[in-house]
Amino acid sequence: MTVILIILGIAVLLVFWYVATYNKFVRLRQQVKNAWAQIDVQLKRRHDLIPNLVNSVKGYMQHERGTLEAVINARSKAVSAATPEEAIEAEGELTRALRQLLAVVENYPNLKADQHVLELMEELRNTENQIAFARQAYNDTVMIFNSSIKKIPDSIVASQMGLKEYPFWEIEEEGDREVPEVRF
Amino acid sequence: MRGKTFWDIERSRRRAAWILFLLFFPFFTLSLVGLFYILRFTGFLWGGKFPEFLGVASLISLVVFLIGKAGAKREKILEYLVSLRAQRPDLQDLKHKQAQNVVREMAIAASVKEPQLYIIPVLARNAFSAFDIIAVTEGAVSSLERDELQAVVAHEMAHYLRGDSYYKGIISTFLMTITSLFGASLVLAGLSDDEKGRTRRGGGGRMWLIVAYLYLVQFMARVLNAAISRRMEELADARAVQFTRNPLALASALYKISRDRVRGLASFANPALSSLFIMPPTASSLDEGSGLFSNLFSTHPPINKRIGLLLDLAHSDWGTLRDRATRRKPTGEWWVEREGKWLGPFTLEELFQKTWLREGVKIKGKEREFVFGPEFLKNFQKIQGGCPRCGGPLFNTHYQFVPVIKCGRCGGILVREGRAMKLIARGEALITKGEKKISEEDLEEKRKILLKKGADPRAVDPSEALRCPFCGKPMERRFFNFVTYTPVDYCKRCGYIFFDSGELEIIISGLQRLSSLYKKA
Repeated sequence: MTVILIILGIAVLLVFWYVATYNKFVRLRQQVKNAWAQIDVQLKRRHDLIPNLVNSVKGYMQHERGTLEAVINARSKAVSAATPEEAIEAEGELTRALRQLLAVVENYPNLKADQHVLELMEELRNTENQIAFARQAYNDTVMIFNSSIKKIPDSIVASQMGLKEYPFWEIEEEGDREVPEVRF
Repeated sequence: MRGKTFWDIERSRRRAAWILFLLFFPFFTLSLVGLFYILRFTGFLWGGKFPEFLGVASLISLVVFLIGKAGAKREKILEYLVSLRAQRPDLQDLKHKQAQNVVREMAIAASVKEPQLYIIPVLARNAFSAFDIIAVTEGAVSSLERDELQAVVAHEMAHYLRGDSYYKGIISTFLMTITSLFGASLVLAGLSDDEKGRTRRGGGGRMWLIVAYLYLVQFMARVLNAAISRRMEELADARAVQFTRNPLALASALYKISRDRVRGLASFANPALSSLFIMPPTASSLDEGSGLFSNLFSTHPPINKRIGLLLDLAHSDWGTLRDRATRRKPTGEWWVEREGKWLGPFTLEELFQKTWLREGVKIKGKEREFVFGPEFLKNFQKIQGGCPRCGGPLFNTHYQFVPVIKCGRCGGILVREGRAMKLIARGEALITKGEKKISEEDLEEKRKILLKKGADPRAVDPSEALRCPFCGKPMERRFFNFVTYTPVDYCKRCGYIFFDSGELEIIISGLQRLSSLYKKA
């Protein structure tokens, strides 16, 4: 009798543990997905912002035609990207082109005196930061997810659910995360 | 601490904060049980045994907890914000827009719903958060670098994420209960007057025992509360680094805030809420020093320890931090020629600080070129000394074409006595509706103070006497007029009046209102 009770108790505990772990993984997986969706939203926002920005700085920056064109080209590539690989590639290029533009603006005090340009610059900086932070949040969530599906004994539940590690969004190059500082 | 990451710090502080928080309940309950024993010993209670004591004490604990829980409400914080005249950010204003953007970025970094941002219109640099509200002062928004503001917001975001304000609210209810018990025992013991001003006699030695016991309990409760609060702050610092990955920015923000001369929130600060701020709004040696006393009672860890920890995380040192924090933003509009190249833009102040700037060097202003020399200096003399209010750099400039000396930091204005009225007359055109409203509220508030304390400018502005930047002597505080009762500082010897930023507008719109009343009559 006692033995049966003990076995029953253990079984109940096991069921509790299983349900709790299952729910934990569902929650984590949702977090990873949300973090990924957030990156998408921010990239879209950046695409919408660029034509406006380029138009308003064009007049001041006659000598920086190359920089501006690089931004425009990278944007159109990113917008028309068909596969995720292409998109990641094009977004990386766009990030670099924008960074170049932000650095160049430093050389144009007239530009920095223009309220409208300052506003656009802040918007752009905001977008760049949001992308960087969304990516960071995604990577952090993925890290937690990946390490928790490998932990014993939770890994048993994970393999039952067929969970696999999510890939990190690698940062292509050192200094990629740092947006050059635009001072007002 | 070297070698630790923010993840390690976070884990250890989170555990510590929880354990201490959970300790508070048994501590309170057992303290009450102890009180009952003493009451029985001193004959105030006829009987009672341990189980009864414990039962009653637990019940009281529960009631206090429930009261605290009901009291820890968002509405309370909104009321507090209204009393501080805090507003949602004005998105037409680039600096406010930037603050709003920073909040959004940090919400993304923390993967939470964006909290509401409020801006408190004071010059001091500080911030607090409670529930889903993050409040930042105007001073912090306008004078911290973007990444520093980001770090401050990230710190507040960490409090928001863990609901620290909620726990603090509950604990403060327990603290208040203990304090009022102690207060009541003092009255009963005849050491303090009761509400009607009568001093009770009697009680004698037995009461002394109770007073001493409650004093001890209060002492321990405060120590425990401070310990919890410090762990929460350390945790929030670590999480801020997790969100921004920029420990140096937070270190730099803390460094700047802790060295501010204006901590002007003191008069607003609600003591129960002051532990919510990133830096205690009422600066005291207790909060910033280290040593046994501050280790026990301070709600924030010693500032140098906080910064030191962050510098370790950034693999940086104090020298780098100081350089960074004292770096000036190139906001001026002056350029100077050096070896065939134009350098700039500088503010005039920065320009004059160049040691190689001597007669004959070419300077470029907004409109035209100059040659540095006595001729140039006649137009733009450098102003000795700093702003009487904040020590910031002073410039010659114009306000509606009237020459004034303006502080580059706090926006205060120094003007020759004879020019002051001209200034006010010319300023009329610039006044906005918002300023008119502020002026009315300002007058209303001053009226209340003046009715209570008499027509003393010091009652309205109790800050220390300012020093004249020209002669260094203390300035006299007086009302500029008896219409708006605006206290201004005046140097008799040099004939200059100092208006704090915004005061001119208050005076102008006040006078405007008065003249419109005359017209109607």
